[in-house]
Amino acid sequence: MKRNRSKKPSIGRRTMLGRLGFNFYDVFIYGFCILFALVCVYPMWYVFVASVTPYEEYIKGGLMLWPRGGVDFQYYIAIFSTKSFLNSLWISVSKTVLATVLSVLVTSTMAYAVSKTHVRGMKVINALVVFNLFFTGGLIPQYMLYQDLGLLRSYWVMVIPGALNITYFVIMRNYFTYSVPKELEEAARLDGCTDVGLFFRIVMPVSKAMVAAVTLFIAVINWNDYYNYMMFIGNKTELQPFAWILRRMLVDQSMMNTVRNGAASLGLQTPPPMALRMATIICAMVPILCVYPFLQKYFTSGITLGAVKE
Amino acid sequence: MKKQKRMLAMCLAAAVAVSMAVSACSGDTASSATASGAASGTASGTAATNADRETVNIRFAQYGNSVDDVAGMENDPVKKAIEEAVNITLEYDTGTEGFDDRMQNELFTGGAADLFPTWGESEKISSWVEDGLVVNLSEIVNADPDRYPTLYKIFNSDEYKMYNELYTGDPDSAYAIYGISAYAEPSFSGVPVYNSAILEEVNGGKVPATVDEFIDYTEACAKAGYVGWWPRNDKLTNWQQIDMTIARPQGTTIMPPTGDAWNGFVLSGELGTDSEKWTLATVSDESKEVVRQLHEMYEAGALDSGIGVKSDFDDAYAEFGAGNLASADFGFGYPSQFKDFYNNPWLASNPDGQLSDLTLGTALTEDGNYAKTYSTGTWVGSHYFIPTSCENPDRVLDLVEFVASTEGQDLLHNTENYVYRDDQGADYWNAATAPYGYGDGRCKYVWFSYMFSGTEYEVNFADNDWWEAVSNPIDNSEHWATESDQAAIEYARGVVSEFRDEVNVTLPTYYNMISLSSDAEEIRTKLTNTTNEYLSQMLGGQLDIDESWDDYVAAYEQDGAAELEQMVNDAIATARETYGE
Repeated sequence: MKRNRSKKPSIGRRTMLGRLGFNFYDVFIYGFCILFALVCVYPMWYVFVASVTPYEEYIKGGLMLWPRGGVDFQYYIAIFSTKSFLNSLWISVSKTVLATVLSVLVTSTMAYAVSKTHVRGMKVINALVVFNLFFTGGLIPQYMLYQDLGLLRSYWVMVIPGALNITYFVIMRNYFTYSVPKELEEAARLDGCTDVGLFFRIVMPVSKAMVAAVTLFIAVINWNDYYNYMMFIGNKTELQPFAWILRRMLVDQSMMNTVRNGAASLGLQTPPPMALRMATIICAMVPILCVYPFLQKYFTSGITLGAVKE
Repeated sequence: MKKQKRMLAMCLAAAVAVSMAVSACSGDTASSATASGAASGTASGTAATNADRETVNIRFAQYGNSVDDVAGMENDPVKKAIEEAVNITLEYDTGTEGFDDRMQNELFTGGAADLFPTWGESEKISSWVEDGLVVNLSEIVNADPDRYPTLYKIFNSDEYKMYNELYTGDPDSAYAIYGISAYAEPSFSGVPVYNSAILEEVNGGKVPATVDEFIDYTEACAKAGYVGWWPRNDKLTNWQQIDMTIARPQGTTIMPPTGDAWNGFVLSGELGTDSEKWTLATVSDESKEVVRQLHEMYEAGALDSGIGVKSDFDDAYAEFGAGNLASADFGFGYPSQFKDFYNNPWLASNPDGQLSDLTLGTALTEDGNYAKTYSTGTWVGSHYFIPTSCENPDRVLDLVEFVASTEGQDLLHNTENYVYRDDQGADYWNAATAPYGYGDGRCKYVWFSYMFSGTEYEVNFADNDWWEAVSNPIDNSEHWATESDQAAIEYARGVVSEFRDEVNVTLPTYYNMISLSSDAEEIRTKLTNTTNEYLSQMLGGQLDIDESWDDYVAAYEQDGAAELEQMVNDAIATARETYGE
């Protein structure tokens, strides 16, 4: 009895947190999560603040929680007055959309086909595809292949070679194999649905969450990709993606000079390199950040789908 | 099942059709290229001047420019003049990150630029020659000396043949245009620049002259609330400035054996004779005492605690500009370095600043001895190649011949018979440099700039042989400098001249021909990694110097320090015997 009495909560000793329905562990967990979120978000916030802070304030250093000395968008004006920035933004958006649509389409159709292991030869095709996940021909054979295909120095070298994403092919194949109910497919067939119709009208809609998550990941890969431009195009500045411009702003003095001189010719104060880099990073982040809210509702469920096999 | 088979068959048929279409397209391209090549060969064999030769397109590659401004490039007057003089159309190719890899991939796959550079790596040259990837330039030039008079003179100079022999073993075969770097005046590290106001406040304006005085000064600055010293070193791997400022005046070095073959070594005996001997001193007892001094400075706040983390040209510049750093060290043994530092960070952060805000210090001494900078005064810059896939190597050499000629050098460097032209100022040159990311008031062209001189200066082949020209390039930059820049350069030159000859030691030219084996390079890499690991921890206090020094020495012995010392001395002896006077 004594023990029971001691366990009984005492009204008088209840803290404010207790009355609100929290205990010590809740506070710790929330605190930790908030702290962790701040650690993740602060670098981005810092970059934004630095990109709108007048340079003379920025170089004073120290912790910057908000813009000191007022908000100044002159670095963004300098960036967008440079012709190659706008053009590269268009290239990045267009190639991201095209490459993502193509990649999701090719990868999902291939994954669906290969998931039908009862069809003769599919296991061999699967093995051939997965082989490339572990072994590749290397850069020179890749270069020669693109040359023979007429892809070198063309826009399409940033779109077509990534059409089959093997990592997501494996994920999608597993999903189609283990998570799409066979009964649904059989019912559709009984109703007279063709293979193509079955895929687009039955399988894809029930796989929406997974496809949305994969789409997001592939879009991010395409948005951030500059390697294909750097290696296989190189000298056609009209095809530069924004990620490459950002990279150049970080390492290429002549690119930085172009933007700074452009700003000066507009009558702006010559912007300091660090501030321009910060503003460019924000410009590179914002478009792809805009995609997240549209796919967020599918995202959490999508990335865990197929993780547990039944 | 039947439907699936039909679909598979249709897919296969479509794939075959696409493949055929693609191969048909690439086949067209190949045949048109061959036709063009044949036409060029016929024309060049009979014509006497560039105007009579067929107009061809030449793709020229150079590191680090920008080709974003297409409209600006079309109005570039210098490009137009070159195209007209050589009767070609020029296509510029450039890049920074991945540029070298792309150049190499293009070379291996037959799509290289008609004239492309490397940074002079000897193993690349020999392997490309062995694989038949690059054109033997001297074969073409020697077959027609009247067409290529300047190149003929260059390729047949003794020194050029020496480099041929070093790279390929054949003195008579030149596969590259060798770019040699040389400053117009000696350059060295280890000269601090001081914030004059802090110098006045803490030391009554007296510039430290010895290592001890410098250490005392930086410690006093720390006590006064400033950071004493920032030596250029944002990754704790670049020990050059610390070494030249603190260690070298004390007769030792903390540098690992990296970069020049003699880095990390101290010299005994007489240079240029059999008695010259280089001893690896990175882990000597004297170096241990230097590391102890550095650690004590670090502890006292005399040495910036952000060393290894803070970036040199952003964070450290900003700190100096904001007046938090009492002294900084980014070289300054070369006057234009000081000018650059005065402009940024100082004037960028202090628009109303004056030259007197900064005080350029002196190279420090210890027991009356200065640090010594050993240099041949020249080093290998970029090398330019013509790939065997190039359809018109003779026409590319016409371009190189023009660039090497007096007319070409005058055009690129704003001179007339190598004398600077005052009638064409920054306004004229802006149209030729701004499209490529410059337009900063310089009056010289930014393409072909590394071709003969790795330091981008003008070279006079008309009045000099190849080696004389490239090792004594003409620096015209002061002619176009602003008044403020000229004042900064003059001030720095005046200060530096007081000790320049004490610090700078010119090595015999055979030091340029030292060739270390791959085994030696492997040991150098290991020792450099060991130094970076131990020094950074000892400096920061993570390792106790007295307890860890023996481990450091043992690691050096294990990594092959003694073998390297022998290899370096042997390589120097071989170079002396082969190429010495």
